[in-house]
Amino acid sequence: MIKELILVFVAAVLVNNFVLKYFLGICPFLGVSDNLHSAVSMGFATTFVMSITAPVAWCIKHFVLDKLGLPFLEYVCFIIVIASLVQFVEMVIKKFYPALHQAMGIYLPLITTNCAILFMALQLVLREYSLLRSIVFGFGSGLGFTLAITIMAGIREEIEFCDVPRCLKGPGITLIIAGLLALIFVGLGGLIKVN
Amino acid sequence: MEKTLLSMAVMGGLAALLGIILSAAYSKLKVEEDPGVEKITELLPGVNCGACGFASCEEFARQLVRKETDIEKCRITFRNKEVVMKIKNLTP
Repeated sequence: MIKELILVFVAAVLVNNFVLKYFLGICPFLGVSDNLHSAVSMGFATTFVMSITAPVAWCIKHFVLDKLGLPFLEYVCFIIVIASLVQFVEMVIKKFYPALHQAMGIYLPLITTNCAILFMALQLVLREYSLLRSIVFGFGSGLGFTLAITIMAGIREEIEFCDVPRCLKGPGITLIIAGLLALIFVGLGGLIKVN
Repeated sequence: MEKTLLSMAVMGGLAALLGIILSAAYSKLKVEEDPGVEKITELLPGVNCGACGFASCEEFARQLVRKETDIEKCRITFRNKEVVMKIKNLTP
């Protein structure tokens, strides 16, 4: 049981990393990764939204939609749950960390449209995970996103001091780094064999 | 027909529940802001074009109250002398 949960967790964080394996959530991954501090905060905000979305989505799916025979409402229900959670996170950050709110800017409300979160909610239904596994999966996916965006921000902060060819400055070199990171994460694919 | 009504009820119920939770959270977590910011935001065009250099009209209004920027920076309002005067009167 615990072994299985660990497998789901490692698979979500490393092997099936949402950003670097499925290329989801690229918008904040490229947009907020120019500064380590705001990148880590963005990661944790997303992780928080994901870890709450996972059990809520599971409960809505199993206790409401399945019981009433309305599986087609999945998408809409998950979207409004995610949207409300993001609203809540934004309120908390605006209240307690105004500077962070400033730094994240438009990307904070845009967590709503972060496809990684909706994908996570839809996947846990598709893969027929149990509640406990869903929670681990949601948390792991969030941490995976945090990991990717943190690595990216760290590299981008260092690259500011490097002699990058002029034609590659800015977005060019960032996309190349993202591609290389994705290649590295492909290498982690042999770690375990889970769908 | 029955399914339509049922799905309407489910969505309505879920939305109402989340709405209540959010409004409860909002009343606890409300940030006290300068009332001038709200008044100026209402006078600004509200299209969030970004031409002033800030992410949104609200952010521009906030900076106006702090005197970090000038109303002439707004590429939409600056020709409308009446609104410009009104906003200038609002910024202390």
